[in-house]
Amino acid sequence: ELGAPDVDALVRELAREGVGDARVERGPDGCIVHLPRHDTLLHVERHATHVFCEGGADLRQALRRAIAACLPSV
Amino acid sequence: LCVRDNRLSLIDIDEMCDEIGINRHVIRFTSTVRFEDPGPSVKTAEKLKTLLAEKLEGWTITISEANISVESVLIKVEGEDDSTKNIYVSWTNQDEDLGSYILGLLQSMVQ
Repeated sequence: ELGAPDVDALVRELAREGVGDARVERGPDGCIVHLPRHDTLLHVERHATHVFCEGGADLRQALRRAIAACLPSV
Repeated sequence: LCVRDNRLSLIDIDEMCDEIGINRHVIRFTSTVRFEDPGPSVKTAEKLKTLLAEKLEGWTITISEANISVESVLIKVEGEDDSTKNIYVSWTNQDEDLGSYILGLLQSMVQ
């Protein structure tokens, strides 16, 4: 079974993509990563990451690359 | 691409993961479009469905109450009868092209 993305690694990958304003809130079921400058929230759980994003396609592309880089692979 | 029953087969990635018991990590995006359209949410959803049906010829579009779906793309209309509606457009990573096309279409419609 594949696990959740490593949130510390995700914050580093986001910074590498130029999205460096991440604030992390850890909860019992996962984490919420808030990107206030981009009006975006990432709700990271074990089997799913839900991105509430008010940015454009370029931002989504950067978020997708950052998440993919932190997912455990087979 | 996998070997099944000693034959090379091309199968859907979700089916493949189910078969070998892997829970894939699902990435879903949601964006919001605000739309000035007084009246019931269901009526707004019907208008959007008509627009999508014109633009997405050949795709199966389903509607239930104020929710529209096309593949993994879900469009939900929320708001009181007399107010601006919030249209939530949501799609999985695999349907980025379709999801961002529909989002762009709705954004251009409200401008």
